[in-house]
Amino acid sequence: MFATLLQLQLRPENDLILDLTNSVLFLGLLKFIFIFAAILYVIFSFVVVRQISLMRQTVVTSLSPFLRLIGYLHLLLSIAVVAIFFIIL
Amino acid sequence: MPDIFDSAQLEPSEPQQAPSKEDVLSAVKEHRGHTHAKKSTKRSVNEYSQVMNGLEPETSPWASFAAKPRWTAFSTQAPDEEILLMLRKHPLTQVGWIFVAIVIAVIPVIFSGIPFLEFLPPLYHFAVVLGWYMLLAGFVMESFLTWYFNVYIITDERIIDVDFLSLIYQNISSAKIDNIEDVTATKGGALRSVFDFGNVQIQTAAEKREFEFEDVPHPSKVTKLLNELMIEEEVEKIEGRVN
Repeated sequence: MFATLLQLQLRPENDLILDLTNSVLFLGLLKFIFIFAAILYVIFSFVVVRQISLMRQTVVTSLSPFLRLIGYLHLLLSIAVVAIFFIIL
Repeated sequence: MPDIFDSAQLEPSEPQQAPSKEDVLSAVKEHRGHTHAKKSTKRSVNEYSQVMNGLEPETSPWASFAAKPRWTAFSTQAPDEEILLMLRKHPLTQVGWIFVAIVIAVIPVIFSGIPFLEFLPPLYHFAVVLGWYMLLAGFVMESFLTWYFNVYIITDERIIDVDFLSLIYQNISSAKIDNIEDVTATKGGALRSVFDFGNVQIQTAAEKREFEFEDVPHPSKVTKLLNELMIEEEVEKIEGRVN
C-alpha cells in the first residue's frame, strides 16, 4: 500500500525526467557533445601517429613497423567512431 | 738582359695540374684503409667486459635488458658505434597502468546490470560504451609507447638517455664515456631486491651533469659494465688507440 502510494507520488517526476531526456533539444545537445569529443579523439589519434613516427626515427627497433601500423589503425578507428556517431545518433 | 727574363735558362718545373680523378680516388682509398686500420684497433667488447662476455645478442624487441640488441639503432648513432646495452624500465613498474586498463575494460561489463543510463535511448548506450573503449585504447597506447620508447642506451662510446615524457615532449641527452665521473646503483625496497631492478645514477662532466636510469633491471651489472667501459677508455688513451 505504502509502496503503491510512493510510486504514484513519484510518477509525475519520473515522467518529467523522461520528457526532458527524450526532448529533441536534450538529445541534440548530447549528440553534439559526443561528436565533438570524437573529433577531439581523432586529433589525439593523429598526434599519436605523428609521435610514433618521431619515436621510430629516434629509436629504431624491429617492432617499429608494427607500431606504425597500430597507430594508423587507431586513427582509422577513431575516424570510424565519428562516422558511427554521425549515423546512429 | 737579366737572366731572369731568359726563360731558356730556367729549370723546367713540374706542370701544376689539378689532381686527376685517379689520384683523388687512390687518396680516398688510402685514407679509408688507414681509417679501417684504426678501427680494427678497437677491441671487441667481449675482450674486456666480463658482463657482456657471457651474454648472447638479444633478439626480442620487448626486452627491458637488451644486451647487444639486434635490429636496433638510434638517430644519432655513429657508423662505427656499437650498442652494447639498451635498457627500459622493468616490466613490473608497468603493472600499475596495466591494472588500471583492466579495471577500465571491465567496468562496463560489471555495471551493465545497473540501469545508470536508462534515461537515454539505446543507441546512446552503445555510443557511451564505444567512447569508453576508445578512451581505453588511447590510454593503453600512450602508456605503452611511453614505456617502449623511453630507453637508456649504452654504446662503446656514449651513454644516451631518450625521454618521451608524454606524447608531445621529447628529450635526448648523451654523454661520452670519458666524461663519466661517478656511477652509483641503488636498489631500495623488497620488490626491487627480489626482482633485481633499481636506479643507476651517473655523474658526468658533460653538459648534463647527472643521468639517472630509473628502475632498470640488473643495476649492478649496468654499473659494472660502465666501469669496464671507463677502464677501457683509459686503456685506449694509454695505448694511443683513441680515434
